[in-house]
Amino acid sequence: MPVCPNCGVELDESARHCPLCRCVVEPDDDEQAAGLAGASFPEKTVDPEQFDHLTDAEKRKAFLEVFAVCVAIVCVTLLAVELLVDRRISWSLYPIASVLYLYVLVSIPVAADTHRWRAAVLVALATPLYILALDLLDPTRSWFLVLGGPIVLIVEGSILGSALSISRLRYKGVNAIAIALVGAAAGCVGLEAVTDLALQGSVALAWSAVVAVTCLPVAGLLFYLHHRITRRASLKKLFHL
Amino acid sequence: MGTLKPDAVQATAPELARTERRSDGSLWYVLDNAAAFMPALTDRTATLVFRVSATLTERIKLPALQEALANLAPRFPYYRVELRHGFFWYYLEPLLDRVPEPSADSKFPCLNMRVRRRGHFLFRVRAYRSRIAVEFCHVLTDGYGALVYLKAVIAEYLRLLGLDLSGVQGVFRPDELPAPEESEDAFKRYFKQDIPFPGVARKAFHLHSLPLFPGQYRVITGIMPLGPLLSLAKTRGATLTEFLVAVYLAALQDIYHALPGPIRRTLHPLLSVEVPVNLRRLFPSTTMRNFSLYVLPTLDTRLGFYEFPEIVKRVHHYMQGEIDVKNISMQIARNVGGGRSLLVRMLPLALKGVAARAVYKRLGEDTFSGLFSNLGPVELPEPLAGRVERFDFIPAPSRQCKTTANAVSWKDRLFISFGSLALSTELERLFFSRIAGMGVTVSVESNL
Repeated sequence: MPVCPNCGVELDESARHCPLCRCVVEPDDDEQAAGLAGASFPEKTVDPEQFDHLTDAEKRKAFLEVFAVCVAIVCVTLLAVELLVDRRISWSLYPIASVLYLYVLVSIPVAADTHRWRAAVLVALATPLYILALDLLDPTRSWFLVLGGPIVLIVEGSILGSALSISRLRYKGVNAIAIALVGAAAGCVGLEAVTDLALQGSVALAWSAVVAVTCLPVAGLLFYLHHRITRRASLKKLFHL
Repeated sequence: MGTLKPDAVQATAPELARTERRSDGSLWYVLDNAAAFMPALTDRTATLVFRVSATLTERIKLPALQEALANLAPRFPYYRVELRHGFFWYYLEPLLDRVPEPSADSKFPCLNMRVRRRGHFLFRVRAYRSRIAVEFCHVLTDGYGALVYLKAVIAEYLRLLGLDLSGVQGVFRPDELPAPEESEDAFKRYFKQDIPFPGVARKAFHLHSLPLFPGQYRVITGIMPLGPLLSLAKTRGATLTEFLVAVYLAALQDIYHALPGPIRRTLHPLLSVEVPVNLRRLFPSTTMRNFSLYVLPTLDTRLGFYEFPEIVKRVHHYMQGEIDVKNISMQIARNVGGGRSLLVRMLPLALKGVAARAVYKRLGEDTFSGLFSNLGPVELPEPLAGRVERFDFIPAPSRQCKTTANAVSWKDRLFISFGSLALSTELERLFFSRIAGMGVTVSVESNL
């Protein structure tokens, strides 16, 4: 009779795996199991109920399915309400676009699991598409190319740029805060420049200059502190994370 | 120590003691008095799951074990249940569409039984090499019930392998019908109204130690010859259980006095050991549900250091006085009477759980430093006895006490298993080294 190398019990002649621990049974496992004769407990920590559980991948798949059904119900309901009340489709497309964007925002990180950068890039691509969709829903006005698109790109660019720079730091301390401040200052300058160009046709920095003048010296101080004094200062320690 | 006569008991057995109920044609069970609040106290570590195991002389043949469990399922209908919750109480509902299946053994026994999850039995049978282990949640039964079930499994398993069991008595067989008394709540049978309740015990000292990693449970088993220990106990005028409890208390006392003075002065000065008592010895009953209560031998360290003979003497006299029908009746009156109170009955289950945790902490784990449960000598009829090498009895994990101990004897050997969630093995070391110091050979094994 074959013997399970983990449980040490004799199995059915036809068994290819142990029904207790799911361990694959090889023809020479009898000798292996005999070698463990002195062990009073198995080496493996087995939770007998673990076989009843869904794996993480199965849980994610189930969540995405349920969430997709919920989103579909919301979209259909919105369309049905507008069709019943107004006999046409117009305003319901805005909440539908928003709900679909929410679905993308939630489902991409869930589906990407540990691939955080992949998820960040996909979400970054989804956001301008959402803004473009909102623009296209109103054919009387076009604002995506001059205002919506650039604003999204600047905000995403400053956030992703800062995050990428911070993630590449060898020693993460107060220099991470400094990079975030520089990113915020650059983002604010970009925002004001874009809005000025769209609304007035020329760039005249005002409030973003104040933000930049406030942030950059602080960032400079933090870089100085990090590199000269507390090179190994840890944000985790600083904020008891 | 008085004992009630079985005939008198049968005649006065109240209908209230029955746990089976029928509504709309379906059967369900009320939890016994000891188990009524237990489900609220469980989690993945504090499972209230204990284990009794038998190591046979030959490697386990899984197909035969699977068949034995399936054959025995109808014989133990009161164990073939899942836990359900109503608005006011937990209850047990039969799981008739499935039979217990053996599961793999683990490095850390007694953990990870999700008691409140639907579709699961409240016990499991685990197989490892030549060992069959049953792990029961205390919601279902006590050590006695688990041992009876294990004996039945062994007998049926060996019968399927060809052992002739004709004429064998003393084990439950699949072809028998379960008696109604087996599922009764014996606490309610022996409940007496209008008697005083026992006093509330004072808080006791608890071991100080870093915990093991989550998901770990250390078991250290000491194996020793029974004869020399019985002689040692007898020469000191004590029973084996009293003697071992005294050793346990002495080990706790050594740990307590080894602590630095400033720390010691902040701790509770009482050293108490909970010793469960199988009430079937005092109150005749064939119940397979919980029917045990406990006594609490205690040392008050404020009175000075106790020499070992003194501890044995104190434990002996205390236990002889306490394990008595009248004293135990007071505990039954308190426990059953508490469950009958209108206030308790009217509380929704969620609030009962909160109250149960507070009450269990104050009346239970706060009042004892450790636990020592002796299942006693296991008896099996001869054709079966020759096929069993040893029995083990492992306690349920306890967060507050951290380290607890169970004992069982088989043939001429005694097996004492310490189950622990603590990193420190000081209690086990002191316990076994004291026994070894008396000239008894102790061999120790561990899972960690």
